[in-house]
Amino acid sequence: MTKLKIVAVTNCPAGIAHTYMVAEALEQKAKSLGYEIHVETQGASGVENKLAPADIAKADYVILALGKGMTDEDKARFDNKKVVELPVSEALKHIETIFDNIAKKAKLFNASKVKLGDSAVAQDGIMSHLMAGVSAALPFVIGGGLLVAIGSMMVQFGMPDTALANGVRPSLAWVVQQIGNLGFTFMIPIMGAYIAMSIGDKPAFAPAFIATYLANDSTLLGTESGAGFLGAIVLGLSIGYFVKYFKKIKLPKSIASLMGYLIIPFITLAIFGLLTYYLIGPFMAFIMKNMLLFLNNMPPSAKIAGGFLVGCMLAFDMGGPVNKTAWFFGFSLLSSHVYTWYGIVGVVTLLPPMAAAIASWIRPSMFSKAEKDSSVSAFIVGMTVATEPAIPFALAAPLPMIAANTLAGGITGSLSMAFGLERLAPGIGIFDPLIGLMKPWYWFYLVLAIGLFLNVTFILVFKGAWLKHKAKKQLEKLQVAGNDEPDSTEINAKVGVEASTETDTSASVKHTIN
Amino acid sequence: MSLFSKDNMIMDLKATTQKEVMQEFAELAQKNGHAKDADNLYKDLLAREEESTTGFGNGVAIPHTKSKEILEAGVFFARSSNLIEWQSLDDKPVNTWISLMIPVDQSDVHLKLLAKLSRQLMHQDFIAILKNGSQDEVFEAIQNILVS
Repeated sequence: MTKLKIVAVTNCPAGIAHTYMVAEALEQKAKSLGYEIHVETQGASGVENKLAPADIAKADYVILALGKGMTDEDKARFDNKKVVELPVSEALKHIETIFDNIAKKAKLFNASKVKLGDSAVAQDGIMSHLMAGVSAALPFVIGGGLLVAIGSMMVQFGMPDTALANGVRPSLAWVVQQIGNLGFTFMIPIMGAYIAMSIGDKPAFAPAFIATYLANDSTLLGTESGAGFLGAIVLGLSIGYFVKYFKKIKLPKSIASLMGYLIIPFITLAIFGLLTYYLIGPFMAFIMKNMLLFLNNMPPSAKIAGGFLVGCMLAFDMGGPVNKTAWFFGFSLLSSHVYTWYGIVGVVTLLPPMAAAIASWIRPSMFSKAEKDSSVSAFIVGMTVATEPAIPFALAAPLPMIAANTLAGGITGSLSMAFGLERLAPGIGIFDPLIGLMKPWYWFYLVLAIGLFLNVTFILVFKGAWLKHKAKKQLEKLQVAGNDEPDSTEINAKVGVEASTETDTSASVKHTIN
Repeated sequence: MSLFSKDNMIMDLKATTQKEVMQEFAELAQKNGHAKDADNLYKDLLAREEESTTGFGNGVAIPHTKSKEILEAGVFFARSSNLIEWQSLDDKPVNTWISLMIPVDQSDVHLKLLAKLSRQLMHQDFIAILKNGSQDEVFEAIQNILVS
């Protein structure tokens, strides 16, 4: 009999005893039979000896001895494997015979097709952390965005927009918008905090939340703009990895218990808080100042190229420093009765959220469930008041989404300039022409339609290629893992890998062409 | 407070039923300062037992709970001359117990030690000491795992 390769997972209700007893028993039994085995324990102190994708790929059989079940998400990693699943107590009881007739006991496990698409994106290290930020941030932008939209509608339909001031009672429309704005304000730090927590666990949450909040608060930093979602990505990732390695420092037992609640959050926050304040803030102020200088010095003849540049900038970081600079440039010209640059703002800022939503309707397989669920509200909020709903979509696939938005924004900016669109004041997006803020209305809707068409097309092409590339890279990784110690069973395992990844790629090819 | 001491051992348990065994463990845990309320702890131990038996065969059971009644993690040991019905995996009655009790917000250090102890239960030589060794031998065998 050839040397079988087994991977197993054990867990139990309390996570104290049976998880480890069965893990030990499986290891002993497998050893006595000369099998190779890796056992992952999911006990009270978390997951230990986590199975590496390469081990799973090489394994002949998977044993799941479960006392508290397993989520579909967790199970998806055993797609296409021969799996024996049984209660943890049964495993303990029948440990002597558990490997007998394993070929008959095992069933081929198939994760559903939809899961495949999701996990293909989620498995890659950094992307899985970014996705944690996406799913946490979505409710903020959806809830907040809808309130802001309702509030600005109320104002546009004639209700008073009175802000809170000394002795002044604020109007309802103002209060509704303020509550909604909090959703946008906290979306960014929540994003940074969840990205960091996904990497460095709970101790990373608080420092990342606070540092990202600081990086996005222009008043505290004394800049014209916060760092936006790109700041959340940079800080979330760096704080996450910082904490992850910080945790490896060995301390005497007496103070080791203080690590998670005191030492790590305190030191991490001190370091990254100060870095944010003294590096990120001035850095953003510097680039914004220079970008603005550049825009202001643009020769008047370069209108079409200038429109392209401003369009690119507006779509690039959706509320970050680059966007704010371009917005500020257009907005400040209103006072000198130049309305065409602000016209670009009126069209281009509608595109990213609307295009992302439309793309998720055309090709649902390219988007996660959370993104699809949020698409309707992203569309509504996007076409009226805010670009922010596009941020989670961009976070879920930064390179292709930002590239698509920026390119479409640039072309649309040129068109807006070419057709001479003029916007007189901030309004409610797609309805601006109806209330006289955007003219001429026919060219506005034409340019908007072209922009949307381009943006959606770019998203589908770029993200499709990106997903395909990721699937291919994963395939290569698995093959390298399968190749490192060639013997006869290894070749079997490798054939298995190739067969299973073939379905992988065909699935992702289907994503892009169906 | 240490995880395990000779005060946590009963070499001649009086109980004759599963419920009485749990009662004695709960009272000992309260007496030694590991638990707040023995009655509530008793209920938690039984609740875990109802989920699935902790008798894993060979006359040994490992009643355990993760409970808010526990103040400090503890390991308890008991042996009896009575054979007590425990719905064990091998349907045989039990006369040796090792009980693990941990608070809800347990630190990692203790959890890792208890995991190590649980793993030892799958080693026949360790079980032989638990079943037949003197109090000193049993104490030493368990203590060796918890401090190493």
